[in-house]
Amino acid sequence: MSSHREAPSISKDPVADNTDTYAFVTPDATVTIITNYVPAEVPAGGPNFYEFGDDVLYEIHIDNDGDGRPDVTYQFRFATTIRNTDTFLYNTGPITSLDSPTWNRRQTYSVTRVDETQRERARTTLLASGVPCPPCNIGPRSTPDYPALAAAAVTSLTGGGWVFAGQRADPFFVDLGSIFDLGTLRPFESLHLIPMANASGVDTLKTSNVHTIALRVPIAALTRGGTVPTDPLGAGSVLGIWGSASRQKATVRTHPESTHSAGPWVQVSRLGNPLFNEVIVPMADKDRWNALPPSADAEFAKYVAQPELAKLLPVLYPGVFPHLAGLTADRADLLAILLTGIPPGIIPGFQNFTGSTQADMLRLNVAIPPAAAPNRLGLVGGDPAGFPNGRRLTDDVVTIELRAVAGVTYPLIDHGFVPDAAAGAIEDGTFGHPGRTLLNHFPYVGTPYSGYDVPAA
Amino acid sequence: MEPVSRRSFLSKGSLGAVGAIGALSAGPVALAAMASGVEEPLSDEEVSALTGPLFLHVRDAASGEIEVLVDESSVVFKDPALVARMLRASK
Repeated sequence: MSSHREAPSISKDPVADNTDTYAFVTPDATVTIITNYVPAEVPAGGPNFYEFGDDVLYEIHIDNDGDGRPDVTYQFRFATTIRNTDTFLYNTGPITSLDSPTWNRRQTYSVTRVDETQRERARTTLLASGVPCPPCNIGPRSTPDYPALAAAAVTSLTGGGWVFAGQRADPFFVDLGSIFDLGTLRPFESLHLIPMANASGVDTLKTSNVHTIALRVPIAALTRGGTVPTDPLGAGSVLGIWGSASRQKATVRTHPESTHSAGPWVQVSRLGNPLFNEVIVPMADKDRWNALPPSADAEFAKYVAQPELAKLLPVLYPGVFPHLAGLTADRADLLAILLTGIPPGIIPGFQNFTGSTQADMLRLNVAIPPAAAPNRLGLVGGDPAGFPNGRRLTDDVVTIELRAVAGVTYPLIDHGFVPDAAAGAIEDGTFGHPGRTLLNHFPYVGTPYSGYDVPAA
Repeated sequence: MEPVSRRSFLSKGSLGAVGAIGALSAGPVALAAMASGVEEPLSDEEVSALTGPLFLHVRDAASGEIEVLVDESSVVFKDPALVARMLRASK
């Protein structure tokens, strides 16, 4: 998955598991950033329904000077309260508002902005506190008007913008069942080393929920110098963006119901580009990668330059990728896409280059306006407003990265290289699942699936 | 400082053990006093300043390097004598 359970340690700590990060330009000169946590939530997972961790520091980071370090960070801290200590139930009646007395276990959170500059110590500003999360989507009796509950949880921020934190339908789509069965792509599995009849892709996450932190803030609040760039080729038009989760260095359990934590925050999960830690970094290094900042990613560049997946494809699909099999040079195309951004002069009118520092971040050129008709393949499909220029909820990042690794982007570096015909055709076949709906307004991520309705009878 | 037996160390728990060295964050003077083995009793103000847990992490027993974890920060110092007392108390 993009980064659901992608590393050994974090797979045992779902509350802190950063599954996906999205960033895209939105109307009125704003940027929306979405970070998701708590992978593969089963909608009916009560009576202790999913929630954020009170002992986890959730963060969204923005690098606006290309050094792979945060210049602006938004921090989110959660607090849980139980209203009725005499019941095992999450709710004792319909939850009709965010202050319904029948809603037993609820969370609120604070939002703090941290500005880092080289000339002064970090400056922290509390933007909001006591902000309510909506409940989980239980079912038609408990949460009869879930969209209204979620809408009520959208909160304006001091200084401009909005924030939302709570359960949503996981927007990520992928056929995990086939991909992790020896790299199978169901639409092409007749060509696999162990062939079976071709089939349609199965979206493993089509009825899973996640916990979303969504932020919509003015572009000027994120860029260097507080500008609103209008020239896509301008150096100050690109933001590096990633999410993370951290835990305090020490925790002691004094009683079964009581834990105490102290010490500095230690990062346990992060996510910039989708699938980076999942399919680029070897298993033995995944935990270490999760603990490091993007500015340290040069040590992982070797895995991007010679990706394991590019070597596996010709083996798993014999005779299908002969040109890829012969491509032994370092993958300068992938190094640019994932670690530095694409420099000016490669794609006419486009760049998302942040400099020579190799860092895994989403790179969003904020001078490129939203597309009127988004292409699911983003930049590869001729749509510069999509991945790898930031990432939209509808971008088919599995297909985009599969095709890039298979060689479709290598001609950007070597005009003489001819990709295999299959490189431009492969996909896992999960795009456009009919049950996957998104909102056309903030926080954009769709209404979570209810426990009553999923799985269906 | 009163001797720390295994029983008293364990019964005081983390907060008690920490209370004895909570003054370390006060700065070099306190650190010097600790290194010399002479420790002034904590003032009421110092005791009340400790509002949350405080943990000790012996990072290197050989050199006596200890990390104090409190609030959202850590302080690292060396006190071979204290490390020796803690290790022996744990036996």
